[in-house]
Amino acid sequence: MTSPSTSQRWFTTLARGCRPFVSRLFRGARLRRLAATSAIVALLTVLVGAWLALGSGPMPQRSRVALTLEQAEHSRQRANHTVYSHTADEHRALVTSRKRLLAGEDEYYGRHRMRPLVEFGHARVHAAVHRASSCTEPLRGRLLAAAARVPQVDHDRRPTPAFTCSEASVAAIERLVDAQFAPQVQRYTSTLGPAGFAKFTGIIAAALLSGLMLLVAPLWGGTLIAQEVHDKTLQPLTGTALSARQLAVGMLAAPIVAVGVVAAPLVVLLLVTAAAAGSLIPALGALCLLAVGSLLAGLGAQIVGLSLGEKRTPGVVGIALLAVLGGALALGIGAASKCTEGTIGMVALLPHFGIGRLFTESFVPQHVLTLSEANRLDLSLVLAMAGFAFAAGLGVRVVTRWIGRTPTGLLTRAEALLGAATVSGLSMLALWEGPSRLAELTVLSTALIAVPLLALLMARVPGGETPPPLRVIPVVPLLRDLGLVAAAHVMLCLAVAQRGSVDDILGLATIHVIWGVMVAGLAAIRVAAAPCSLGARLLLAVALVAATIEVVGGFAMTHDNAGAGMALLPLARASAALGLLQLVGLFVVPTWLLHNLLGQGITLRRDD
Amino acid sequence: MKIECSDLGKTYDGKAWAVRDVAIEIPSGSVFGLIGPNGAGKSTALRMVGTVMDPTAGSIRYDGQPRPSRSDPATGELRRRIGFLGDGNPLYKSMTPAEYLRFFGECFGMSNAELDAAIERTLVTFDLLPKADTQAGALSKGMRQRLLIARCLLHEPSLLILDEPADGLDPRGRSDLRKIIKQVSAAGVTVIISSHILRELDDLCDRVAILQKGRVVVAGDVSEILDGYDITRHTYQLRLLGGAEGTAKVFARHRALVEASNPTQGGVTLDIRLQTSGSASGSGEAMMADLLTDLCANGIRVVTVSQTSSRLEDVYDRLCDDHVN
Repeated sequence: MTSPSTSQRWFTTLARGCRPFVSRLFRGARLRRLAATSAIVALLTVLVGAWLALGSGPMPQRSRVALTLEQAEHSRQRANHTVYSHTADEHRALVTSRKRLLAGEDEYYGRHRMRPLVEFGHARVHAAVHRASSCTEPLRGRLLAAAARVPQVDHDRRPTPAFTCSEASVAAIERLVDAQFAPQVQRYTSTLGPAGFAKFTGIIAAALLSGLMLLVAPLWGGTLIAQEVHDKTLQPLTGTALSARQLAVGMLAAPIVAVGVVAAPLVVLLLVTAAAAGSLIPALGALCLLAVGSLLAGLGAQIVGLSLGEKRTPGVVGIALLAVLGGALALGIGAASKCTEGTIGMVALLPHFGIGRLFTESFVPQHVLTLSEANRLDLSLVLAMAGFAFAAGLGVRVVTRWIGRTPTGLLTRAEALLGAATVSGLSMLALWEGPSRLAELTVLSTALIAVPLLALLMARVPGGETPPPLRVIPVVPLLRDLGLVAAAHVMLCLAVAQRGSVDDILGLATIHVIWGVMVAGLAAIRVAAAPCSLGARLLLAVALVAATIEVVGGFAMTHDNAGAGMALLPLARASAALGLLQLVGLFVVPTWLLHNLLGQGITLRRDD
Repeated sequence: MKIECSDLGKTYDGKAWAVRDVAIEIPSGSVFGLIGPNGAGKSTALRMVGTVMDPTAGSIRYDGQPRPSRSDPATGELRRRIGFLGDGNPLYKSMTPAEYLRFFGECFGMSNAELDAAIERTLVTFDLLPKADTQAGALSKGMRQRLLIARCLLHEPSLLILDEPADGLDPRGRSDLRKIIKQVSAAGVTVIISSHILRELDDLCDRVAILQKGRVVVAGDVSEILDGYDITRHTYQLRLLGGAEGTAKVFARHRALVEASNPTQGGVTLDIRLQTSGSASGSGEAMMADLLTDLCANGIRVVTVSQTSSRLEDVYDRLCDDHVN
C-alpha cells in the first residue's frame, strides 16, 4: 500500500475542514431547497433569455438595442424602408395609412409615421444620384433611370444618407421608386435567432453567476462568521480536531459550495452558450477569475465579520457587507459597459472589472481591440489574477491566525511586505496608460494603495489571545517598514512614469507626505492595538483627515514647482482656520496617538 | 488518559504570569478538581491542557507523550482524545440537539456510520432523546448544559475537561451534572473539572489542586490533603426538639460557637462552629461526638446532626486568601 501524496493529504485535510460546515448548511431539507432553487433559476434563465432574445415587447426590444444586438427601430425602419407595428390595431391603422398615402391623402399616421420615411427615401435617391459617378455601367444607367422616374430630385440638396454603389443598393433604390416611396408595413419581430437566444441566455447566466459568487456567497460567509463571533460559538470549534486553517477554509468554502449548488446549472448554461457564440476561451477565463474573485471577496467578508462580529450584530455586519459587495459588483458591471481600450488597466483594480470585461467579450463585444491591446489585456488579466490569488492566500493566513488567536500578528513581516509589493504592482498595472507625470502617477497610485497598505500594517500588529493592555507593539519597526514600502512605491512610480524625476517629490513636500503617511500608519496601529472608545474613534477620524491633507497637500506642492513647496503650512495661506487644522494634524494628533497608545497600557517596542 | 504537567506557565506580556510553575499529575480515570477564586488562572490552565492555548513555559504530557503545538497537525489527533467544555455556554440556537451533535462529531472527523450510532447513544445517555428535534434555543438551561457535555463526550474521549460546568445551573441541574460526571468517570474517562464553588466538587473528585494567583498552593489526593492539613474549623447543623435552653453551657465546655439559630416547628435549628485544637484527639469529628454525648447527657433532645461545611472548603478557606488576580 502506498502512502498518500502531499496533494492527496492536502485535499483530505481540506475536505475534513469543509465537511461539518457544508453538512450544517445542507442539514434538514436545505439541500433539497437549494437544488429546487437551482432548477428554478436555470429554467428562468433560459425562459428569460428566450423572452429577451425573441420577444417583440418593448422591454426585450430595449434590451437588445442596449446591448447592440439589434438596430434601433428608427434605423431599422430606414434601412428596410419599413414601418413596424407593435399591436394589431396599430398594424391595421398603418396599412390604411399606407393606402391613403399612395392615394395622395394626408392624415395623422401618414404624417407622423410614413412621411419621415418617404422623405428619407427621397434623400436616399438623391444621395444615390449624387454618387452615381462612382458606379460602373450598367449599374449607373439603372440608377439614373430609376431616378428619372422620380418627379422632383433636388440636385442641390445635401446628400445625407450614405450610398455605396452595388447591385443590392441599386436594386433597393429601384424598389423604392417602384413603390412610389410608400414604406412597407410589417409587425415588429426580433431580428435575433438561436444565436441571439444563446447570447442572451449566456448574458443572464453570467450576471446571475457574478451576483451569486461575488455577492451572495461572500455575504453569506461574512455574516455566518460574524454570527459565530457574536454568539461566541467560534471558541468551542477551536477545541475540536479541526485546525484553525481547516476552520477558516471550511467556513469560507461552505457558503461557496451551497451557492455553487444553485450556480452549477448556470455554469453549464454559460459554457454551452459561450461555445455557441464562439467565445469559450473568454468565458473560461471569466470563470477562473470569478473563482478567484469569489474567494477574495469571501475572505474579505470573513475578515469584516471577524473584526465587527464581536461588537455588532450579524444583521448590521450583513448590511455593511451588502453595501460594500453590492457597490463593487455595480462598479464591475458599470465598467463592463464601458469596455474600451482605455479601460484595460481597470482589470487590476478589482476582479469584478476583469470578470465583467471577459463576460462582455464573450457575448457582446463592443470594441474590437488591436492585437497589441488584446495582448496587453491578456497580460493584465493574467497578472491581476495572480495578484488576486496571492492576496487570497494572504487572506487565508489572516483568517486562520485570527481564528487561532495567534498572538504574534495576523501576518509576518515577509508576508506583509510581499502583500505590499503586490498591491503596489497592481496599482501600476491599473495606471499603466494613466498619467504620465510622476507626481500625478504617485498621487493616484498612492490613493489606490493607501487602504490596502494600512490594512497590511494593521495585520502585523500583535494581538490574538494577548489581552490589549499586555500587548507589546513594535511601533518603530512597523512605521519604518511602512516608510520603506512608501519609498519603494515612489521608486516604482519613477520607473513607470514617462516624465518627471524623483526631484519632483523631494523637498519640503516630501516631509509633508512622509509625515502624513506616518500619522495614518500610527492611527492604523492604534486601531489594531486595542479597542477604541467613541472619543478615540472621533480623534482617529481627525487623524486620518489630517494625514490625508498632509499627503495630498504634499503632492500638490510637487505639482506647483514655483516655490510653494517652501511653505511649512501651505493651508494657512488659504485661511487661518485651515492652517490651524493642518497644525493640529501635524503635531497634536500624532502626539495624542502616541499618548493614547501608552494610555492603553500598551508597551511600545523599538525593535522586532 | 494520564496527564502530567510540569512547570507549566503562561504569560501574555513576558512579565505577569497568568499561570506559573504548575506541576500536577492526574492519574488515568480519576476525577480531578481545579479549585480557585475567579481570575486564579483555572481557565488558562485548562485551555493549555485542552490544547486550545499554547503554554509559554513548561510541558504537558498525555499518557507520556508530549503536547504538540497548536500548529502541529498532531494536535488534531490528540484533540480527538479530548472533550473540552470551555467557560460560557454558546450553542447554535437554530440547531436541534441531534444536528448539533452531528456537527461537532464531524468536526472530530467521525464517519457517518460512527456518528449515527454515537448520536443515538449520547441522546439516550443524556436523556435528550425526547428533545432530539427541538431547537436548542428552546431548551431549558439544564438541558442545554447536558447537550454541551454530551457534545464533549460524543467522540468518546479519554479526557474530559469541564470549565465551570455548573455555572447558572439550578440544584436539580447540579445534581444531574454530578451523576453524569460519576457515570463518565466510571467509564474510565479522566475528568478535569474547575469550579470556585467547592461544594460542587465534594465527594466527586479523587484529586484536587487549589490555584491562587496562577500558582498551585496545594495539589494531591483529597484524603491526603485533608490528612496533611490541620483543619481547625468545623461547622455543623443541629436540630433539637424543644428549645435551646441548657445548651449554652454545653457548647461553652466544648468550644462551640453558635453561628445561627432558627426556630422550627416544635424545636430549633442551630448552626454551630467547633474550634478544634489541632491534635488528633481534638479533631472536629471527635469533638462533635463528645459534644453530642454531653448534650444527650444534659437531656437535650437532638434529632439530626449534619456537617454543613465540606472539609475541602475548610482547607480552601485556610489556604487561600481568596484574592482575585
